[in-house]
Amino acid sequence: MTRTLLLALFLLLVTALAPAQQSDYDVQQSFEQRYLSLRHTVDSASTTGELDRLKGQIDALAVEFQDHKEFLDKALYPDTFDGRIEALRQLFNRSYTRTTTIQTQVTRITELETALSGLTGHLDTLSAERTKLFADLQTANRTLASLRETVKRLNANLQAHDRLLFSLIDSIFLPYDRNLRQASDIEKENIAGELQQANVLTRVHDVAADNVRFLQATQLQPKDYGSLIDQYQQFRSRWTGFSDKMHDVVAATGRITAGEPRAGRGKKAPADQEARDLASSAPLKVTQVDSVIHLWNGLLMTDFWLGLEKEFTGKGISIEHFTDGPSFSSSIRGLVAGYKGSGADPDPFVNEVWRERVDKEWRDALTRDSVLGKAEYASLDQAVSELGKKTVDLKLILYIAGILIIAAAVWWMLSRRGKKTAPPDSTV
Amino acid sequence: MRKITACGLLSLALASCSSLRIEHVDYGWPVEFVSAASQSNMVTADRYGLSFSVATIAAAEFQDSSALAGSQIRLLRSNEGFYFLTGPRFKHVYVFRCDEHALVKESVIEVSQTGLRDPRLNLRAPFVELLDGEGFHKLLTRSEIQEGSNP
Repeated sequence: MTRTLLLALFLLLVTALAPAQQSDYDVQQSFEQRYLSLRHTVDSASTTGELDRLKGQIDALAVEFQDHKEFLDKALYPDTFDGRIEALRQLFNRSYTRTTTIQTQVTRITELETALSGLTGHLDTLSAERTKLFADLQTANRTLASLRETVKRLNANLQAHDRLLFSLIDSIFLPYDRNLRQASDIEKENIAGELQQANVLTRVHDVAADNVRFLQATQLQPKDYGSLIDQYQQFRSRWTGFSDKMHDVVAATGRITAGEPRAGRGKKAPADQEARDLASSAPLKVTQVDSVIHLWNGLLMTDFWLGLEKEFTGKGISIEHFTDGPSFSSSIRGLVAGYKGSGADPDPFVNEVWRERVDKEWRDALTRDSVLGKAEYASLDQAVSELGKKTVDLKLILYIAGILIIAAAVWWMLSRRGKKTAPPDSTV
Repeated sequence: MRKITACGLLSLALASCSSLRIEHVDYGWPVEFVSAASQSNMVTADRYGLSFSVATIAAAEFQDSSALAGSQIRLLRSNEGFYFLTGPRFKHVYVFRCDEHALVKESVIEVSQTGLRDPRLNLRAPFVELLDGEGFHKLLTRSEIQEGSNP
């Protein structure tokens, strides 16, 4: 009886709901379609305004299907209704963060593009000035003081050029620098486009080549080398950092080029073409830059060691030929040992060369880590000083002995004169 | 006496084994499975691990064993464990029960004289609900129409 009553009630309920006939399958499909569509839209949204509108659609989806939650929990197995909505909300939050970051970066990029334009203009001005300075340097009828002034200005110009160039590079990478590894291939492709547009690789090559030209055209003074070595080391270090990043962006551009064209793209945008140009020309240019930097270092250090060696040979001191820090150390130690063993007068070496020339003029460059280093220079200086001390001590002894002899003679003379002039004894 | 007790216990154990039965099993699918039959008349419901040929049903419904190739099939399992199968142009809902490597006809319920247009199956335990557009609504048991209008 009860069962019949329940059945009748059920039928009544179903009949009452009959006008709202709805297929479970359609409900599931409708939910799935809207869920997938929202996922796709949220994932591809590019502005926060667009995302704000989508947030409302996520909320609407959650509310609209809330009545079917129990059914959807079963139909979406192993997912659940709440799980799907939560997944949408999480995707929304990620997209929002990403879009906000990109929008901030876009603003920053626009600012930096203006700065880039200014930097590029400065570089061009410096290039023109540098060309004039090189021409001045090659003019024969100039006084020595005037030539030194030109060399100084040219060197300052080259250093300013270096700094400006790497500021330009830093500006290009700055918006992505912290997360270059996490930057998307599209962002890296944009960087490649900007690098190509600013003609960065050619500029780096030109700066290195100008430094080589400068070394070839200039007679440097010992004190010039310290700053030139620093300049080279900084340039090489920045180039290494830059080339690593550039490999990354070139590889990303290569992946994009190899992949399918992006949706919505018809003709290739100019920036994309520039990125592709960079990707195709970069390997050769990088090799050229490496080669010029190698030449730069070779010329600089050859000039340096030859100039230093001339200080010894110019004073008639025979020293073993040296080409780098270790061989210089070995030569100096060999020279010190030679003086000790032979008993020859080390004065020209110790005082005229080491103290007057090496320590005063070359020490600044020699103490650079990439040349000899402070510790090794101090060790050599001590070895040479010890050689000099023996000379000093011997002289001192001779001086003291001489003074003692003179003092004794004076005392003897005075004591004799005193005896001669003494009055006769009154008691006699 | 001991022998009698042992025989009694053995008989009880055997009887228990032979009548091992789990009651109130719910076989119901939350939502119907919808798919087009392949050109070789096969329907495969991966989610439910079910695969069968609809050639026999096509022959019974349309007198042509290949009539359902490429056509939509709708399938729902009721709480009791019976499979309800129908589709567009069907005049019947076919009810099957499971057997060893077989679906065995439980009943064939006539639901339309002209053929269904766009049917839907819902699980409304203990019934299976059949919808087909505006106003068409039937509650089916494994053997008959329990309730519903038929315009």
